Amino acid sequence: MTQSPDRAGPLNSAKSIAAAGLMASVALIFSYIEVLIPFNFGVPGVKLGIANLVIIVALYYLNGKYALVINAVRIFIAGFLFSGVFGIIYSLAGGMLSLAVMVLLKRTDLFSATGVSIAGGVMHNLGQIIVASILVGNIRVFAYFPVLVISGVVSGFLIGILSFLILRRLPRINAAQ
Amino acid sequence: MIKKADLILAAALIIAGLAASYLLSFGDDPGKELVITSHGELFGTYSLLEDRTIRVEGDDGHFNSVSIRDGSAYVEDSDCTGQDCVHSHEISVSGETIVCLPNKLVLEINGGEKEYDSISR
Repeated sequence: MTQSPDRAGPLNSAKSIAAAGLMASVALIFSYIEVLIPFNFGVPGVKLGIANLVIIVALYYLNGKYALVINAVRIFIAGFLFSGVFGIIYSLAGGMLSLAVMVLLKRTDLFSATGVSIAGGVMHNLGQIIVASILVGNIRVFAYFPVLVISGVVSGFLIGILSFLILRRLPRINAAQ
Repeated sequence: MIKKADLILAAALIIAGLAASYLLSFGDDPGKELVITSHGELFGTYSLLEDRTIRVEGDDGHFNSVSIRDGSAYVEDSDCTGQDCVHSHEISVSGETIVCLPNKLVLEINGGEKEYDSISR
């Protein structure tokens, strides 16, 4: 990543806000696709998490604040539409922990979007399993954690590659100003 | 597209995940009961809290002597050929098993509560 729009220019521009709204709806659609076609790999809890693709793109194309808002909008709307209150709790725990870690890792400038996405995928699963162990009242659900770490790495890798390809093709918002 | 640091990060996450679940597995609460299955049928269920010795005799006349001591179960004596069950490590954690193939005997520790349910999605 050469110059991120974080420091590059006015992020409150109408273009950025329009882009954020667009991304929120795309993220919502991706959540819907995942409900329609569950990418089930035979293990409960293992899924592709394509909505995270939008969050990564938002994180790099806009900034962490926009990514946070887009993620929150997606989680609440998708939760109320498709999965209910427990779904929202799970998604919030996963989504917010994952986003926080991704923002921090991006700030270090050590990793590419792929690495950031991998960490995000793992943290998403970690957040969900923490909530699961609290709700079930049994820390032993963590026996399942290695499976989720590996699935998080794999899906994070795929999402990371995709986001790289997308980010390369998006026109810079600030270039036009 | 992908940096060396990304791969290191992925490897570190996997290792951390394995280590975390390994460490947490020490915190397992001990199982509550011993389930004995002989010749594919339930022979009996015994609490691990009280020490006792159970003689399991199959229809073919072969026997295993199962002991429960201090919350752990093990096969004390058996007339089977291999004696693998007698040499098996004692079991105490939910999910652990001892199997005696010649005598068609299975010992399994069963926790008082279910491990997983269907909440996770």
